[in-house]
Amino acid sequence: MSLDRAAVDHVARLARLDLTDAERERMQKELTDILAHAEKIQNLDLGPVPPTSHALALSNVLRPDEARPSLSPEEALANAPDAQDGRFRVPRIIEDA
Amino acid sequence: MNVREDVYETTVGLEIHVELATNSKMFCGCEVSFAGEPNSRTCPVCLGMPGTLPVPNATAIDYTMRIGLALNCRIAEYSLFHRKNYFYPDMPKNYQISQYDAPLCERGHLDISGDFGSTRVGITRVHLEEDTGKSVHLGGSGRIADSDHSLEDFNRAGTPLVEIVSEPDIRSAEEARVFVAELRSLLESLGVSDVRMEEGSMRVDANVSVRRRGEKEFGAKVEVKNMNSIRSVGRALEYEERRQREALDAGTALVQETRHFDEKTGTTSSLRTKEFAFDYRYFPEPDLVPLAPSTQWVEQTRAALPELPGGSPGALRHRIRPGRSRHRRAHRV
Amino acid sequence: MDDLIWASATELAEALKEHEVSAVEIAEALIARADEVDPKIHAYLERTDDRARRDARASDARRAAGEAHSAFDGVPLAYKDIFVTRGVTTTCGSKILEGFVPPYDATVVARCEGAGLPMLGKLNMDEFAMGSSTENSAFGATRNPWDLDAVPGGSSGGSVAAVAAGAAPWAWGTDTGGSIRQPASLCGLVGMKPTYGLVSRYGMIAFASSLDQAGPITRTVEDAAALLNLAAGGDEMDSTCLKEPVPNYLEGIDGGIDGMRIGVVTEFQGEGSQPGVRARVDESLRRLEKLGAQLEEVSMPSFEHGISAYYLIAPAECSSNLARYDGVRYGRRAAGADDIVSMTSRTRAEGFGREVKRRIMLGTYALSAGYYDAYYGKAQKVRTLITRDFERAYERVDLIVTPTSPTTAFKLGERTDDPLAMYLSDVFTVPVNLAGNAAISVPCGLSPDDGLPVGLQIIARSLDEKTMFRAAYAFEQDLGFDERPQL
Repeated sequence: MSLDRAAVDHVARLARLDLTDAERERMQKELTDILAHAEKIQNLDLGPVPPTSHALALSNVLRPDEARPSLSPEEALANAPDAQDGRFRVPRIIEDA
Repeated sequence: MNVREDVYETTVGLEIHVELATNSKMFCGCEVSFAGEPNSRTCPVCLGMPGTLPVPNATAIDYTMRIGLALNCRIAEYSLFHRKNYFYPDMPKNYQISQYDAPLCERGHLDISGDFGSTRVGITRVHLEEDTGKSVHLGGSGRIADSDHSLEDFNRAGTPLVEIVSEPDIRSAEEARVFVAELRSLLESLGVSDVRMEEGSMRVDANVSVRRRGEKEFGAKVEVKNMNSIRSVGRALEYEERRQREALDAGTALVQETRHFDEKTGTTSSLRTKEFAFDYRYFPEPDLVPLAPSTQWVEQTRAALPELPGGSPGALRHRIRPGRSRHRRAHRV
Repeated sequence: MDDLIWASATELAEALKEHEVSAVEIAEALIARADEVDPKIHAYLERTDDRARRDARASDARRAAGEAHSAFDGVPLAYKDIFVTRGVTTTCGSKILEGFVPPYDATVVARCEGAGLPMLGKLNMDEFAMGSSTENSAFGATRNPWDLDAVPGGSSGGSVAAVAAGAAPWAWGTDTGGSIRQPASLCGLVGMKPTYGLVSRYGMIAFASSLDQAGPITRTVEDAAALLNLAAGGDEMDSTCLKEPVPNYLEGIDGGIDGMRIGVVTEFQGEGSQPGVRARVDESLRRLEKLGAQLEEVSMPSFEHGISAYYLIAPAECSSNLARYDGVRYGRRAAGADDIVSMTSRTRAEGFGREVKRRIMLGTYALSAGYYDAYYGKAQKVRTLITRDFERAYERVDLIVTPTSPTTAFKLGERTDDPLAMYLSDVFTVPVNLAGNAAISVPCGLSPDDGLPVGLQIIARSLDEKTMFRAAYAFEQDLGFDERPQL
């Protein structure tokens, strides 16, 4: 399975990574190598095997509905790169898939 | 207009989001409240700070089951939270903890009646997720499109949010309006939400399409947003139904799009014509373990349901006809 | 002073109890040692000398009042910089978190503070724990105290370097695919990965959530059991943390291994490891036999797919876990972008290093439409097969032993241009994380090839840490490994 440049571009956009051309080129090669190694499991017949998403055999771990103290707005915003009027300030929101 | 004898047929499916009136947020202990200054109801968990983990609110699970049972749904024996991955600045982790192919409640229905007679609307699923924060758009007109920056308040982020998805069984704007009104009063009597549409604790999106009667394929699906009252659901969908019929009469092709309802003019306008290829990369949320409500838990919740409007408790045990509802998967383009 | 630097944490606790030394004296000795050696090894990202002194003074006061919080009150500790520390900069080895001062503590940190352990500082690591050499730290590589031209292993490289060089008696690390065990092996230390869910992950910055576990890095097996005692057990902030009562891991640690059945993995015999590693491991097997264990071959046919499955699952989870670093709420933000998409994309391009970008790309791809079933879905099924291999083996044996790493410490720069070669070095450790089992790496001598440390990995079934510690302890006591790096 080799990864074409369009796929690299698409994935970089999904992952919000502004990669340089050189990085894209190298990424294409490296990801292709790594995926080639993963190719072995592609060919395994795993039809009836259930997936494991977790090594734990737990279920229904829940928390009682009790309110706890929050941070103060000052603490919440203390690490903000940019803030205004007690809110996190961000540049113009545009949509992008 | 009696739509049933018309040459056109309208099909409406609804997606309704309801904020649950719990004391604390879905995955952390911050208080759920409309009051308070911006970012005063946040903590490392709901701000998505590094290393923090979600722990689900038991009451939110309980409320979701109540809604599912009141809508005659089957409660899943095994249900999972998934991550829905996309970037948006009002979403602290840039993924939403939601449910995907293993929702808590599935395959229910709500019977409605009115001038159109009586009809049964299938409920595809009722699932639980977390709400986003709120953006204020500054500069320009205050709408997102021409603003030059935005401000984010995460007080709402992480509020438990139930999504109710109906089957495309609704045949007119009036049926849609009655469905929303019935659902709203049902939720109110369940005591699970404020259901204040104006304040956004109940939010309705509609998928509307019109086709010639007898055609097999649905018409182009138009998603209508921003209907902030039951009345506006009726108005928006009437307008949209008429607009699509007129377009078909005129031979204009309809496109799949998202349209915004304007309360003042009573019209809808295109928000987004381009069909985005969203790729949410759903996968099971590894920070949470599965939900597996015991029969006992489900039956206790069922027994505790209040007397509901428009239906005796017996109606709740009424089972849907097998094979009627389709299981609609969240889309993975 | 030399005594204080090289004493185990247990010995320091004993000395404090007997009032032979004060916590302040211990802290000062370690601070002085860090001043001396850290410029050579770069183990620390952030030293918290003042805090360590303050904590030590408070500890001495508690002890004088007969109110010590635990047997280890006053024994200092350092944390891999993946653990969030309230009021102390936490970067996870990444430029994207430069200057991040958390308003909360990781549960591990809170519990150790509660036990009265002064904090020496935050330790270097591969960025977001992605790497096996600590060369992926955005703040410069850490060097191996045994050979300054070699890597200490990774991702917990700063933790092992500090402990091996006498600049901390013990440290917390994290292990997603071997990040505690491999560096412990490469630096001649004990490194332990507990059963998944035994130690809370709250405040431990996520790499791959279904695999990440915190664990101790120490000079002795006893210290590892003691440090685990301080932090293990249920946490209401982590719903994946096991609620079972936690035993005292020190109790019965000296019970020996007579009659214990120990599995040797058929598929890991012979080639694949350096001859020097092989020699030390074979010798270790004979030692275990001599101590009364019965060795038995166990076949793990699915282990060969461990790396493939791991390098799909871990990147997939990381691609989602690292989405939050977007320049909106904390951490770095790229300057000059006038819309949200370019701001976030540039912030991430500037803030993340090469390996992190590579894994985010790989994971995003593995989860994306049309590829999920082929990659992530398949990898989750392989995970089931690996778990079944373990279960089958545990029907016949109590523990399984393998080399920890196929090689001793390699030279800086040797593998940085070949990510796949770097990944393949995790072959022995990765299956344990996939199955969620417990494992420990104990030193088994120096390689005759290059004089660098070799580690033996002892794997136990989930929650059977006590059996694992017993075997590791018996082996350690019998071997009497007491080599120290010359710095």
